[in-house]
Amino acid sequence: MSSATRASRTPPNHRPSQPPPQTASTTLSASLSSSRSQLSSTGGPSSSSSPMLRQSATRSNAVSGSPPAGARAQTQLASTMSPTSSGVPNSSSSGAAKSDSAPSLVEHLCATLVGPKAADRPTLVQYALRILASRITAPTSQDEFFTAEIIKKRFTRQQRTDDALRFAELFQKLGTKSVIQNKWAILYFLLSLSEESAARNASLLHASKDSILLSTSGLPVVQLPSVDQISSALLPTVASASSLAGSGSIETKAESSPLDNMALSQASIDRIHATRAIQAAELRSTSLGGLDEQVLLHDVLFAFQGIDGQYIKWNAILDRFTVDDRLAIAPPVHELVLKLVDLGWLFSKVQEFVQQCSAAPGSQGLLVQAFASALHLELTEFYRLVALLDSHVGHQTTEGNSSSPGLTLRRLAVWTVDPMERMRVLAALVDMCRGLRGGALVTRVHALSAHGDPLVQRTVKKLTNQLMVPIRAMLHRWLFDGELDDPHGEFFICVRPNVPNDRMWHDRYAVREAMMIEHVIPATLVHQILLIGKSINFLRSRAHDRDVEEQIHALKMATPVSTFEDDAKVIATTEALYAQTSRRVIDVMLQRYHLLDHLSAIRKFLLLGQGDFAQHLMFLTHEELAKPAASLYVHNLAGILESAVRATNAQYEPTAQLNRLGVKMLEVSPGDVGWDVFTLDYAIEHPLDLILSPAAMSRYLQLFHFLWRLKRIDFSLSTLWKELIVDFKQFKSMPEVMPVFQKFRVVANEMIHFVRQLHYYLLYEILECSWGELQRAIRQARDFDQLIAAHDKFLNSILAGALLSGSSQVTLGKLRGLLDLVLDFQQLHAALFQAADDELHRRAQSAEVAAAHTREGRWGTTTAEASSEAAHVAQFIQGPLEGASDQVSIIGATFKKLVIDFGVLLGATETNLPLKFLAVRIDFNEHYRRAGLQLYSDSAAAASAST
Amino acid sequence: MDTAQVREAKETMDVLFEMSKLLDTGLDRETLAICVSLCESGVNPEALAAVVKELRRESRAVSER
Repeated sequence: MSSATRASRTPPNHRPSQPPPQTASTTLSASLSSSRSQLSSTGGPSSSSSPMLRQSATRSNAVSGSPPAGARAQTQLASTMSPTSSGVPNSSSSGAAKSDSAPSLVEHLCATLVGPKAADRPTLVQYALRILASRITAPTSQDEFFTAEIIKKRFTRQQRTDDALRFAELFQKLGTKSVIQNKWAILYFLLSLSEESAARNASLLHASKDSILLSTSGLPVVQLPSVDQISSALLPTVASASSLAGSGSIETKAESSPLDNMALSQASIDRIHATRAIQAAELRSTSLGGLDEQVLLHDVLFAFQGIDGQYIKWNAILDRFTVDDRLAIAPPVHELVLKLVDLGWLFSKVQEFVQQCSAAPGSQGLLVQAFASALHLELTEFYRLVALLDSHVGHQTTEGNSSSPGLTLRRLAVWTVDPMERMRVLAALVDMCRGLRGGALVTRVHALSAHGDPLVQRTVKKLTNQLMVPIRAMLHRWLFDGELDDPHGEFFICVRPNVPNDRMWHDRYAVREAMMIEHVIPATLVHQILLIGKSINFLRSRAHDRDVEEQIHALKMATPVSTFEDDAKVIATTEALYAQTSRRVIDVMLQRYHLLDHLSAIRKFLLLGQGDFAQHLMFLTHEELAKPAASLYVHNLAGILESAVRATNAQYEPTAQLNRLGVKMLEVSPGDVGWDVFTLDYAIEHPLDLILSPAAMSRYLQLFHFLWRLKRIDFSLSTLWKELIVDFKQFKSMPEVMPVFQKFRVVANEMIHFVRQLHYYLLYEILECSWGELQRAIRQARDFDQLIAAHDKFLNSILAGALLSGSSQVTLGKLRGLLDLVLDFQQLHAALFQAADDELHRRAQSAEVAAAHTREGRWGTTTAEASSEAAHVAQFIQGPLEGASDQVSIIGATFKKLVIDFGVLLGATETNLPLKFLAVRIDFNEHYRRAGLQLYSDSAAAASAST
Repeated sequence: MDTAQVREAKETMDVLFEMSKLLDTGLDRETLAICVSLCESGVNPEALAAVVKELRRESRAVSER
């Protein structure tokens, strides 16, 4: 806007076209002084109603009449400042001469607000002027800083801190401008308008606020100042206001809309009036004997913060606030005050706890700190409430208008119902949770979230949310990094740093039962969470897998800690991570570390699953192993093992597995033979030993030992069987041995049947079935723990099937006896065979001697020779032969008895189904059952006979 | 010199207009300028606010009709 345009509209008598700066400032200061003089006469806290009336009358004259010079200058200034205002006032044909008067400004205002076309504009202008001239008075305090403070407070109350800051900045800027003199008026005007829009939004605002504090105090707080101010402005002259309305309605009877509006506005004025009257009545009802209620209110507010007031003081002995006895107040008021200051007691309790915690940070752990900080937040909120209440009391006293109280004891009582309830919950929590830490604390607090009262529920929920913050951070770290960030031992997973590598998976990380938060994170989820961390650690230390780490990292980026506030999200994330990491661990174990191949090799070699290899090894070593243990050397046996592998199908096994196979000598004790100390060994290194732990491997060796023994029995029985076949041919010439050998054959058959059944049972029913199950379980395993469990189950089922588990000691003892008997039997046979063979040779020799004698022409045998021969034969028959015959009978009987006992034991004690089947299979034709019945009835008869 | 005054006046107006926006008064620049002038001329701000409210209501009534 050029200065020329401005000059053209400037009345020459007031503003020279080029005024020196002093002139401008004098004009402005003149306007300032004139308006100030008016204001100063209007203001003053002690103003009664009658001077006010007079002053407002004066001012209305001033407004409607000729404005002061400063005002005109400002009018001109305003039209200069606003780019659009140059158009509208001019276009509405109000000349430059008219634009400087207040009525013309009002006309402009009407024009801009209602629109230039409105037919009833003159009426409106009149109406507006009348309102301006009315006795609506400004509040007594006309301090621009105070008004600015009110505006800022309002922003703060509406949680618009940024706006408050921005406003403060603007206000400061405005202070530097000298163009505007009456800053207070403008601020107040803006504030008044804004209150209208605030009131418009109030209901909406109220609905959207879920904070308890705001919902309890928000609405009255937002509306209260405006109502109060309007009422205080309007109400001193009730009668005249209503008369004004009456006259207004009479004058504008013909016009429809302004009349309605007037009536409406009058109605609202009346309403305000009514409120005002109620307030006054309220004040009277709570009026205190001589004591200003405001003072008492101040004291109560002090007490809310645990501070002694003038009359309300903390009594340490009674542990509560007491009202000064000298104060003469009515009993109901006294009671009301005591009820109110209860809040102060609760407050100081909570505050004490918070201070304790903040005095010694770190001593009780992060969760207690989180708890304290959550409580602190609540306290801050409470402080805010107190400040708000205080501002009302404060506002009251600065205004000095004792007839319009913003706050009374009763109002205070109503407004603090909810805060009181919340504080009560907090104080109760403080009591309940003293001394608790970690998960126990969360559990205790969380238990209250099932409280029936929604207020308590909300409060507790908020607290729990705060409490969970450190837990969530730890959980996040653990889930995605596998690290425990828990300096105070509060997380529900703990680490034991001294666990050796081979127990890493099993023992390094464990669930800390005391810190579990059952309600928030159930046990199954905790198990998964534990597994995830373990898996991540395992993958990191063993697999160095970039892919997985990147995947997890991506997931981590996608799930910041804040998302864990949603429990469902925690579960979903856990599930996803669990599936991913567990799958990966199993893949690593199976593919990178060939777990399945190793298990298969162990089955083939240690559990003698590779039949030709076992047979050949037995064939190659049986002579060597019969030697005393001390004379055996590992390297010799290793050589034999090597040749056994080379000679059989075992050579087609992968070298990685064959290389692990070795020979091991158990500890030699005196008298041991090779059979007692020889075992095969399978070397296992680190990641595999998580499954094939040393304990498991020693079980495997135990199994091998047992199976190897059985294999040896089997082998020796088949050798025996061959020898028995040979016996028939060889000793054809010795008919006297035939019955004995026949006995041998009978017993041997019995033994072969038994051992074959046992062998079959072990190799097929136990080993193969368990192996099949193991493979199935490995395929189905979802995590590493399940893999370990599957293998443990496999091993245990084999051990139980082989009677090597602890519960089968007695049965195993019988079995050992049986097997030892077989070995005795074989030795007995070998001895008889030897004796018979010697006898045969001797007879052959004596026959040869006889034949030689015959060739020489002598008698083949002399009498002496014949008698000696007969003595020899008799000696043979009576000695080794009969002895062997007796022994075979004894062994046969013992064996039978043992088998019967074994069968009975199996049938009676074993719960294992395959073992029961073994009993049936051995006694398939009930031979032993009948024999057993015979045996026991005999022994029973013998017993009864002896008695 | 005049330009300096004009600039200052304009700046003041800017500040006031922003305050008005912050306070959500719903006034446009022009109306605000008029109101500022009225305030400066010593009109009671409370009454002025009442006038603006009344006029707005009136204009709403007009537009509804």
